[in-house]
Amino acid sequence: MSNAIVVSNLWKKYTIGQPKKLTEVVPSWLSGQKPKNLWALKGINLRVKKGERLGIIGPNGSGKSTLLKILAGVTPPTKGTYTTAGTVASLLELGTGFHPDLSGTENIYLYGALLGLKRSQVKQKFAQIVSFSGIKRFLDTPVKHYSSGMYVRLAFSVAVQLESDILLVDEVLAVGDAQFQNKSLAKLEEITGKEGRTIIIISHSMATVKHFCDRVYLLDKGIIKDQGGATSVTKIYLDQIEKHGQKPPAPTRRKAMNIVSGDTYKKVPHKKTEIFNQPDSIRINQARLNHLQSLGLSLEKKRVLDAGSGVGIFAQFFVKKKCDVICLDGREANIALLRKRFPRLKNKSFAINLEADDLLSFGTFDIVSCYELLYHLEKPELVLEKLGKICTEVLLLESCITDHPEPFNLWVEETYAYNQALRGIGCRPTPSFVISALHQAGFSYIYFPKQPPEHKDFQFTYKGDFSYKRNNHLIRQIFIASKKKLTNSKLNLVSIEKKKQAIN
Amino acid sequence: MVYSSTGDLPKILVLPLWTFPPMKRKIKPRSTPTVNHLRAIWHHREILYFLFWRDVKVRYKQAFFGITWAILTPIVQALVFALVFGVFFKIPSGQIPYLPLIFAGFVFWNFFSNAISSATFSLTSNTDLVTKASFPKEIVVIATVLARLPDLLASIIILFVVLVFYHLPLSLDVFWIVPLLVIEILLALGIGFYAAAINVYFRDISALVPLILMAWLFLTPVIYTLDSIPAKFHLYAKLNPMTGVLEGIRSSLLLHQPPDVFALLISLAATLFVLISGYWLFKKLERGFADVI
Repeated sequence: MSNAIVVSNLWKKYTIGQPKKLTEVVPSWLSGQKPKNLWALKGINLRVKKGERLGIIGPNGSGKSTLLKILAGVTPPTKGTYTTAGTVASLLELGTGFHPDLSGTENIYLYGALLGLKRSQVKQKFAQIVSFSGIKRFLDTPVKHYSSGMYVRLAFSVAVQLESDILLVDEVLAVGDAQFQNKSLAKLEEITGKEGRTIIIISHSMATVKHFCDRVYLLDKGIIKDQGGATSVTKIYLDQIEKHGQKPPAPTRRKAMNIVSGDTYKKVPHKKTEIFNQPDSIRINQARLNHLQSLGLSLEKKRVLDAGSGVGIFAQFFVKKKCDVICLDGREANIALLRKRFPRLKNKSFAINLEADDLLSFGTFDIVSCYELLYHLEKPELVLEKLGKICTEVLLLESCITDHPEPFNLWVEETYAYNQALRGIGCRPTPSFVISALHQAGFSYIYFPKQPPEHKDFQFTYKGDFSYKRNNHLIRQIFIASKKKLTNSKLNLVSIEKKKQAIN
Repeated sequence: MVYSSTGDLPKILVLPLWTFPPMKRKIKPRSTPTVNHLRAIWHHREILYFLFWRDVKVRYKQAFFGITWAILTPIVQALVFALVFGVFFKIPSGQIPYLPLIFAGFVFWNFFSNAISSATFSLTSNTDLVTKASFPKEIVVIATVLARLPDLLASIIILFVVLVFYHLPLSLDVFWIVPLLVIEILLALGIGFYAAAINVYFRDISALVPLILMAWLFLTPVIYTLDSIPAKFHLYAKLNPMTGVLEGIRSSLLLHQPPDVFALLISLAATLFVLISGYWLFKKLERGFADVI
């Protein structure tokens, strides 16, 4: 198949710190001071076949955006050549050229023209654009009164109408609220799926890259480090990050939103760390640890994975038992604080998206501890299955639950508090849901402790009444899942049937 | 080595020149730039249209009185200068009353001056268009200059009202205004190209431009006529391209005479020179806009 884009030996130099005032320019000429040069691209060679979907990944400042800007014709290369076959449209930033004082309708036409759409095309697709954006009521309002979400939705709705042969997309997918993001990803799927269309996507989201791209280039400091299939190159990139202890990419998880009213959405804060130093929090963690200690499981000198480590309270418990502990958490802020609190865990703690990212690369573990984990997740059963693959002995689990005999997972909206998920949606699975999921994950023996921890959340009686709260506190259950049969007088073996009977 | 006079010349000297291996030359893109540039502008005409329309719309949306300001400015200027120079200093204005004379001057000068001022900032105030969108950037300058035309048209209407008020009839010579206005627009555009492009690199231009425009206003027959200055300066005054334009407009509008051919030719030549060289410089500097701005 013929090439849509051929880039050969492309170099791009930026001059930094160039003065802009004559009073600075003239002295700099006289003193012979030379401005600093920065090579953003150093001899890039790449070929993109017609109809291919190419991803470009790499850390910030690796030259990804510069490359796309050159291909888009916004800035010329310093050295080297590139050819593009067919019409090129670029989405370097959503809403470029939007004027705050103009109405939504007016901006649709203006933006369309800037993206290279004919007025007649925009007119023809106007109804489609408006219905996709979902902001029909605000079309006559100046966009300066729009929320940032509405702004981006309007821009995206126009942008997806582009019908060029080559489409360049720079990190514009991580926009809007969860609902619109799903919609826009589906739309992008539709337009990228079109026959013979060539797409280049830059993204920090490995999930997006894996999903959309046939082939991926890894860029670092202006040089192509690697190229190949999406799965292998993203893995190389993530490994590289891990090795160099670089800041990992932002979690790919969709941000949950609180619906406030109509079209405005408010993000639930997710950058905060786990609340661990409040009296309530200290009390429940102490109860959990005392209880775990009292169970008499063999926890000494094991290789332990603390999934959902938070700021490292459990990790510290295992370290004291001379275990080799790896900590994983979804929030970078937690990991940062954990490293500060326990510097010796620095090389053993990672911010990772348990749902999307690969866990196999961490090796296998004797014990996986996932207290407080499930209710932070959107797909708990998926994560349990992944954890099951790397766990050889015992998985320790504690979760907020819903009191009902049937296996299902209840989602509740949550706020920021010590015992709750931070992303707006929290899971409240029923015990039988968790047990089923654990069975599926390869754990044949599931146990409940006979004696619950010394905390009101654990001390309740099952009624099967569909509630996830009793007397204004959450209800929690501890599950000990094992691949082999355990003989421990402090544990009761449970199965779904038994549990059902017990509740009934 | 010694060579005899016949037959022993070193071979290389007798080889004809064209058998030398060709020197490796850097191949430059074939240079018919102007045609290609104009074609590119035409290709992106919708952007030109929408940027023009955006500029106009935004300007009138933002201010409560909208277009009134565009009309009010030349009126106030004319009244003040009429008071100072017409009443206090009694500058001769020939057979035409002083007020309509300088009002006509200000209407057309203000367009020129405003067009250049806004063109100076056209790129630096549209950074995202320069760094994130791909189209010939002169379109931004052209749109900005053209966006001053509605102001001009509105004040021309007021100018006609003033002429009616002073019982000054019009003749067919009034149509000379059209080519003169075209020259004025092209001149403003040419200077706009210079100012906009240089302003991306050196922001000092934005301070220099108002200064130049102020000096230029007083060196151009706006608040006076060419006839009222000493004859020995006439030649120098006519070298100013705006002299031909403004004098031409006034003579065709108020005196029912075609423009002075010599001054008009000078204006035309100067305009073409400024326009072409300005555009050339603009295209030269355009390559660096996205990196430097």
